[in-house]
Amino acid sequence: MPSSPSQSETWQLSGLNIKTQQQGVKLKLESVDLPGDYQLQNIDYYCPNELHIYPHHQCERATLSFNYNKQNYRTVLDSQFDFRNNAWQVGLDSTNKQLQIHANANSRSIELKLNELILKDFVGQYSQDTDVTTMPEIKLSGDFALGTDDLVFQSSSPVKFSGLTYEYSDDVIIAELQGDVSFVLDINQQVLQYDVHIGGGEMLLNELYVDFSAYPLTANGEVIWQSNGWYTVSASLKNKQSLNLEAQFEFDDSLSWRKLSFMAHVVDAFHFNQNILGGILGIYGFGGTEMSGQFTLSVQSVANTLDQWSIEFDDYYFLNERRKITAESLSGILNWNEQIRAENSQLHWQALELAGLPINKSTALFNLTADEFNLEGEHSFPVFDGAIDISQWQMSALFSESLDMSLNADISPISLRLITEKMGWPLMAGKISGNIPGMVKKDQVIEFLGALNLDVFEGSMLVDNLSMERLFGVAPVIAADVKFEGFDLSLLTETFGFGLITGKLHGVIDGLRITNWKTDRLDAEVYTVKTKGIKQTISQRAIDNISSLGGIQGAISKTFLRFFDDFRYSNIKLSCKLHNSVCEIGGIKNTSNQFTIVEGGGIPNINIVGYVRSINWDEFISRLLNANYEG
Amino acid sequence: MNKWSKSMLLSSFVFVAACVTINVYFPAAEVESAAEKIVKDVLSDENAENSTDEQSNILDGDNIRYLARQINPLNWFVSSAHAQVDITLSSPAINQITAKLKDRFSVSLKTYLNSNVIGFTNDGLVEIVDASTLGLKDRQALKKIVADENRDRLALYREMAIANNHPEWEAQITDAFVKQWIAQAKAGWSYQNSTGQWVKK
Repeated sequence: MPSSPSQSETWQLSGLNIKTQQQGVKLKLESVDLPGDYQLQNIDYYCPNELHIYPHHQCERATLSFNYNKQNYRTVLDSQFDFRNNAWQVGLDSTNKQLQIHANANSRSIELKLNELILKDFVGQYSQDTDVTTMPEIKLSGDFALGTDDLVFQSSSPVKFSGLTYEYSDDVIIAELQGDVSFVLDINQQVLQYDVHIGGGEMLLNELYVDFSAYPLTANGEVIWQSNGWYTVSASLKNKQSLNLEAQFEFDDSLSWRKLSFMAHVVDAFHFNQNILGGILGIYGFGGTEMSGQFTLSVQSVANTLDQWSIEFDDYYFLNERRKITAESLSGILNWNEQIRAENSQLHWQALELAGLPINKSTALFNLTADEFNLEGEHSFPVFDGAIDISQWQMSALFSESLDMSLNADISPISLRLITEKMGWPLMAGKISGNIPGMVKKDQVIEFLGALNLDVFEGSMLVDNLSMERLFGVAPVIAADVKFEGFDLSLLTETFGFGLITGKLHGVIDGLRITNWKTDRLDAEVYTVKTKGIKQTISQRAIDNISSLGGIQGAISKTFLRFFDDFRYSNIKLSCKLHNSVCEIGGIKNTSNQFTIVEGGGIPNINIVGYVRSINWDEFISRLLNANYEG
Repeated sequence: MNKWSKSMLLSSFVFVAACVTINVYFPAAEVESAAEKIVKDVLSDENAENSTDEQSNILDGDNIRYLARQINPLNWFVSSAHAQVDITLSSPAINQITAKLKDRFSVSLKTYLNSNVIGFTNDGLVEIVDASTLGLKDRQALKKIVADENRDRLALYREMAIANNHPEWEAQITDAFVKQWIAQAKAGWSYQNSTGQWVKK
C-alpha cells in the first residue's frame, strides 16, 4: 500500500471504472503500478456512502480487495482525505477485525492493533506461498506502532500471546504458552529489545520439562543483528522464587550457537528441584532427590564447546536416600576448565554421606582440569571416630568408561561398633584401620588395584580383588576375596554375644559377593590356629550355639556337662560354600553326610559333629547371629 | 576285544568328549530357556491370558525344546553333560531386578507397549517409538521409565552372567534375552528388527 498520498513517485492506473449506485459507489481498476515495481491487480473498491474524491474525501467501512502476487487480499477501509489542507487518516481492518491499521497525516507512526489474531491462519489466508504447517501456532492481541521516520517498530503496551505451540522435534516442543511481550525493534540499527513474561503452557527440551503455570518466567534482553550473519543475544531469565539467569550467546539462521556464557543463580534449590531439576535427576537414576539452599552455575564457551564451568554452593543440602548420598551445609566452589588449568576448587560441608559412608565436617581442596582430578595436599576426612587420611589422590580419564585412579590413603582407627551400627549389622567390638590402595573404574565397576589391609579384632585382614559395581545404581554389588589372620576369638565372640571362645582365628573368604548389602555368594573357611601363649577354650554357651547351627538345641546344657563353664579344644573349623542362597557347610573332617566343627582338646573331651551339610543361608546367619541359648 | 571294537569305543569317547566341550563354552539352549522363564515371569499378565489356551501350552517353547532334545540322537550321548549345566536363575540381585522389571511392567510399561509408545529394541532394551499421543510432562516421565528399565535390564544381563560364573557370557545372555523379549511380545507390540527398523508383531 502507498504509505502516503503525498509521495512524489508516480502511480499508474489502468482500466478505471466507476459506478455510482444508490447503495454507494463501486470503483474498479484493472491494475495499479506502484513505485518499486509493485503491481496490484483486479482492485475492487466499494464505498457504501456517497463518494466525493476532491477536495475532500471520506468513506467509512469501505471494502477493498485486490490481487497482489497472485494472492487475493481483502480489507475494510476507513479513510478521510482533505487534499487542500494536506490532512488525511486511513484505517484498515482485516475482514474479521483481527488486524487494524491506522495512519494519519499528523502522526509519524502507523498504529497496528491485533485482536486475537491467529498468526498461522492470518498468514495462510493472505500468503499462499508461505508453508504455514511449519509455523508456530500463536494468538496475539495488542497495540503496536511503526515509526515512519525512524523505522522503529514497537509494542505500545504489553502484547498478550496465547496458544503458542511449536514442535521442532519429538524432544523440543513448546505447547500452549501464554503471557505477554513488550518489545522495541529498531529496523535501521537492527536491534531488538524485549521483555517477555510466560505464565502458562509447557515446554519439553530433551530431558528438561517446564510447566510455566507452576514455574512462570520473565525474560528480557536484547538481540543485535550483526553484519556477519550472526545475532548477539543477551538475556536475563527470572523466576521470582528460585532462579536468576544471565546469558549471552550468538546464533545464526541455522540455529548454530557460539560464544555462550551464562550464570544461573538458584536462590531456592528446593523450589528449583521441585519444578525443574527433579525430573531430570529422575531420568539419570536420582529420582526422589531432595535439596535446599542455594547454588550458582556459571558456564563459558570460548570455542563451540563448553570450555569451563563452575558451581558455587551456599549452605546447600542434598539427599537421595536410595543412593545413600547426603550433603549437609555444603558450601564452596567447584571449578572446571577444559583448555587451561582450572582454578582450584574447594568444598566444605557439615556432613557428607557417599554410598552410605559418612564423612563428618571437613574441607576438600582439589583441582578439576579437563578429565583429571587431583586432590591438593594432604587431607584427613573424619569418618565416625576415626578418619580416612589421604596423602595423594589423582584420577584421570574422568569422563571415559575406564577411569584411572591413584590413591595413597590410610584408615585411622575407626570403631567397628559405629560402622556395624550404621550398616544395621550386629554390633562388633574393636577398631578398623589399614591402607587403601588405588582404584580403577570400568563402566559401572570400580576395582581396587591392590589389596586393602585392615587391622581388625587384633588381627589383620587382607581384602583383595575388591570391586564395587553400580554403587549408586540398582542392586549395588561389593565383591572381594578376603583373608584374615590372628583374630582374637574372645573379641569376636563377645561381639556376637555368641558365648566366649578364646584362641586365634584365621580364615579365607573367596568370591565374596555382597548384593544390596546382603551376602550373595562366598566360599569361606574359618579355622583356629594354635598360638603360643593363647589358651583355646570354648564356653558351654558357645558349644550350645555352635550346635544350634546344626539344629540341635541345648547340646550341653541338658547333660551333666552343664556343670563345666568351659572346655579346652584343639581345633575349630567351619566352612560354607554359598550359592543360590544355600550354604554347603563343612568342618574338619568332612564326609558325605557329616562334618566336625570342634575337636576337643582335654577332659572332658567335647567334639561337635554336624550332620546337616546344606542349610539355607538366611537361616544359617540367623542361627549364627541370633543364637538364643535355651537352658 | 578286537581292534574294530576298540577303535569304536575310543571314537565314542572322543565323540562324547567333543560334545561336552561345546556345552562348556556356552549353553545356548539352557540360557535361552532361562531367559524365556524370566521374560515370561516379567510379562506374566500377558502369559496368564495365553495360558487359558491349553493347546498352545503344549506347543510352547519349553516343551518343543524338550521334545527336540529327546528325539535328537546327538543328545543321547550328551544328555548327561547337559544335565550338568545348571543355569542359575536366582540370586539376590537377579531376584531384585526381576521384581522391579515385573512391577514396572504391570504399573506402566505394559500400557506403553500396548499403545506402541515404546517398543523392544534389538539390543535387549526398550526405546520410545512414538510419544506423540502423550502430553509433555508424561513424555518426561516416560523418559525416566525407559531409562530405569534399561538400567535394570543391563544389570539383569550382567548379573545373569555373574551368577553363572561366566561374566564373559554377558553379550550372549543379552542376545538370548533379545530373542525372548521379541518372541514373547504381544501381537501389536513394536519391536526393532535386526536392521533397526520398528515393526509391529
